Amino acid sequence: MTANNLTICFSICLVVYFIGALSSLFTFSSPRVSNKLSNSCAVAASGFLSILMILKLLFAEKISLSPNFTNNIPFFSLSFNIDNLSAFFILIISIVTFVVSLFSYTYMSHYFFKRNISIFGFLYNLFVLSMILLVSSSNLLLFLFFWELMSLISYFLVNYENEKKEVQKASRIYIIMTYAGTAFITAAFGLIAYCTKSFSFEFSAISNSSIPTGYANLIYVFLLIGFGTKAGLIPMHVWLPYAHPVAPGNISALMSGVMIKMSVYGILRAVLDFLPENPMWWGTLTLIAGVVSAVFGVVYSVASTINIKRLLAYSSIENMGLIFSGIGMLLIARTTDNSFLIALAMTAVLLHTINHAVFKSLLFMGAGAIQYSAHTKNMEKLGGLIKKMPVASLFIFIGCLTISAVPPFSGFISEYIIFQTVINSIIWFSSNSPLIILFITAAAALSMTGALVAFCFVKMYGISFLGMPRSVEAESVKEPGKPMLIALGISSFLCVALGVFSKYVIGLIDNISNELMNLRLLSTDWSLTKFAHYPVNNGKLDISIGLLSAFIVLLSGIILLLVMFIRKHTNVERYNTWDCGYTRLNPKIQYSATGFSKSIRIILRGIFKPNRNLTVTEGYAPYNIKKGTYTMSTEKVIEKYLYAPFIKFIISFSKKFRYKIQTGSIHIYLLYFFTILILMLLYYSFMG
Amino acid sequence: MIVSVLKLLVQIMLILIIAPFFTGVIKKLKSKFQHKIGLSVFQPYYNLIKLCKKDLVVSSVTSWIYNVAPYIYFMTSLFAVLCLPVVHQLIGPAYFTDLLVIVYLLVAGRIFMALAGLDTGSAFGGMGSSREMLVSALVEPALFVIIITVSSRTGIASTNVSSIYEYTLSHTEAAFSPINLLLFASMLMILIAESSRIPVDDPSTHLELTMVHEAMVLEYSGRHLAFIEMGTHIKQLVFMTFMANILIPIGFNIENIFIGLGIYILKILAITVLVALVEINTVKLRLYSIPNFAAIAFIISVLGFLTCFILK
Repeated sequence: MTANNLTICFSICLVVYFIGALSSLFTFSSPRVSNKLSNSCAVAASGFLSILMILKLLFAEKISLSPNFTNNIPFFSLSFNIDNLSAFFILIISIVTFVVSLFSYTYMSHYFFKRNISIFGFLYNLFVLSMILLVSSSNLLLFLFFWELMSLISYFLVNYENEKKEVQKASRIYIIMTYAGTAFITAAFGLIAYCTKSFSFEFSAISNSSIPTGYANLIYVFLLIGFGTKAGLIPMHVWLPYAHPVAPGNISALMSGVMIKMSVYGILRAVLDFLPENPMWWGTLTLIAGVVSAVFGVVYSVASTINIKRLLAYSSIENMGLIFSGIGMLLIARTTDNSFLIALAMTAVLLHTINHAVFKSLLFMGAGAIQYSAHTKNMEKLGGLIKKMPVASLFIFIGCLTISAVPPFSGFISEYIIFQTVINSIIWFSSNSPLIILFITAAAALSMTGALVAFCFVKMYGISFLGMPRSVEAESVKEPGKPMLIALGISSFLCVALGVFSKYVIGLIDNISNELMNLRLLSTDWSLTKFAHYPVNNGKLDISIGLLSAFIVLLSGIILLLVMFIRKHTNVERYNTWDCGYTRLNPKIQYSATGFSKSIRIILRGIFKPNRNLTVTEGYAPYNIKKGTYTMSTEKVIEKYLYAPFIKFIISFSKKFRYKIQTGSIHIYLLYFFTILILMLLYYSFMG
Repeated sequence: MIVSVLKLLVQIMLILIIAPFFTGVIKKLKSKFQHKIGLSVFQPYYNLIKLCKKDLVVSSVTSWIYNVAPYIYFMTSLFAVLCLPVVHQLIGPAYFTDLLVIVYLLVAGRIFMALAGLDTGSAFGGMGSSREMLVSALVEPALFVIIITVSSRTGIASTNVSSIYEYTLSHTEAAFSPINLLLFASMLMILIAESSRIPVDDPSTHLELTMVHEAMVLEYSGRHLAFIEMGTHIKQLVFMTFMANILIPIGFNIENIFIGLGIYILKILAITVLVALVEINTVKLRLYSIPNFAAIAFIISVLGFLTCFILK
């Protein structure tokens, strides 16, 4: 297949998305048809596109994909270029879109005749399209345009159930934060364009011109803040725990699986293409930001959530923290000439990006399936779902194991490589004591994060799927429809496959590092013995995860035989859970999600400032309690101590100056014009 | 290939035979220190056989997770100790014998047990799961610092057990270096926390205020319980083997496999004496004092790391 044909295939996929959007819009009279059309188009286009992108990544040298469209707008060209990095992100987008669109077939049915399905389908397809075009654009202005489009459409999608107060609040916070982030990105891009001293915003022109160090520092900080806002780095994370829980299930899966990954793309593109050299502090800053986000994300996710989707949202913050600490290590490694370390960090970043996209979209779809069948997202009202929806529960269980980094699932392998990067960096920088202390602290924090993730997902799965149903809604749950199950099944299969066959994924990532930085993990000139123990294919010593899983299967078989041998003369009796002879057990006696995580809240009371209130109405005697209420709340420290004072300041400032600047008198306004004019003339006569 | 499979089989048999013995020894030593006669050191074996013969009572609330959890727990512990040979001659294929694999497999077993605790729908199970996950999360940083130290000091940045063993074989004199002593002290605290012993947990209690691990497995009976107990014996041996072979590698490089095995068992017995002494001389901590315990373990391990890299 020639390059030209591939470009045509790529364009056809884009057109199919567009057709999906339009056809959904024009079949507004029948929500069923409109839902089917939009999702079928998305499934077809994304399925085809993911195959195309795998081809592109495999045969990187032979294929170039750069669709260019001529236009007559000055300083603005519709130029797209899909290099390996873009292809990798399009692959992620396509995989996630494929499963999420399958999921939407059934999921959207509970909105039929209640909400406008055709608008949803229209926005859904455009949302995916905007992300694909965002990663393929090779022009700063185009990038910004699609970034804005993506943010705006996702705002509409978050705001889908717009009559609810909490949805309005969440989407308002989201749009404000996203625009604050975009402002920083725009400023950074402006600076980049200024440094190139031309009106060409093409990526190729920028990477050829050198940016002075002072500007580069400023640009990087702006980019980190801007993209960090989208990624949900602490303290810019505030929108994430609001926006994800209120968005429809498929949209949160897309947003968390794909949209927040666009920030990873943005920062990698900027760092690798435009800013080829960096001082050490960029890396340490990013590493610290990432580690802090990881720790706080998981701590909040364990301790302050009873809403499944909010738990997952905080967990996304944690995972983006992991990815950003990988980027930090990449930047630190780049100050040296150790190509092995750079390639390792690059692999850690991209591998965790694709793994997180897969398992987090699986978990969000799982949460959507629960919401679809139980009509609640509150864990305290769930329980016992594993018996009502066995198949879906199994798939979600695989997602939970994957995110807890259990071998041989995919989450393990990326966490493994992140730790390998840390250990290698420690050895490489062993003469630089402050850096070593930073690395060992980061490693300790990340390991604690890993253990708390396990805690968090034991809580999520144990409370909502195991035990007894805690409410009527949870008792009446049924297995969701086939398309939903297929979507969950494909995702959980991918979780296993990306783990067991991780060496092929690493091979794909290698092609990216090779193209962008001219280095490979697979064939650096490090000796084989040093290299042998990494789970990457170097032709001689093979990947471990495949063998590991083979051994796990073998050992399970042996244990199964052992059990068969032991169980010969014993019986199994079914009986009630032991109730201490108290009374018949009821679901309320079970541990609750709040209770399960109480220990963390108490240990970290400095952060959470837990506040509890117990009121008891006594009966005829003390201890004969007629009625009792217990309320518990935690404080959102960052919102309270960082954002609230700032907002208060802005409001009071504007109130004070509202009448001093905008007096309403036209004379004053004319004076403003005149003063500004004079000032500008003065500026140009002296400076220009 | 056949040789390495044989090695793995030998390792499995060895572990299955010796693991319960050390729990018995700790119990016996505790009794001796308290001037009691105490149970036979082979009591854990009798218990396991007895449990395997008994019928099971399974709660009607539970799902399949409850039924597979004991076997998964057992399997992950066994797999972990497989990756960590008791003598250096038994080093198997290097494809997956990795310290990080060991840690995350133990996490997997723990996840299953904690879920099983929640699966019964009783408050005991939930409480036990919550506490167990908490304790393990608290000691995790110390464990990782130890792993990073022992793997980065080899100079080739490998968490693979065989390369760490290779390094240890040529550095057996390092047994009493400050690095090893600090790491050993930290690892001893982790061992106490992970194998649910005083002062973190009390393995012989059945009081809801103090139970951690026992509360989680309260509902289990029969062969399920036997597998869980065996899993716990083995898990304890994983940490002890790490200490004996990597942190105090005295006599580790002896070529004769039987003498090597004898030295290994002597070292493990020495560690059991330490554990028994700690159990006798301390009281169980409040649950919310465990963070302090874990912090001390962490600080000691970081001191070990710094000794290794900065003060060398």
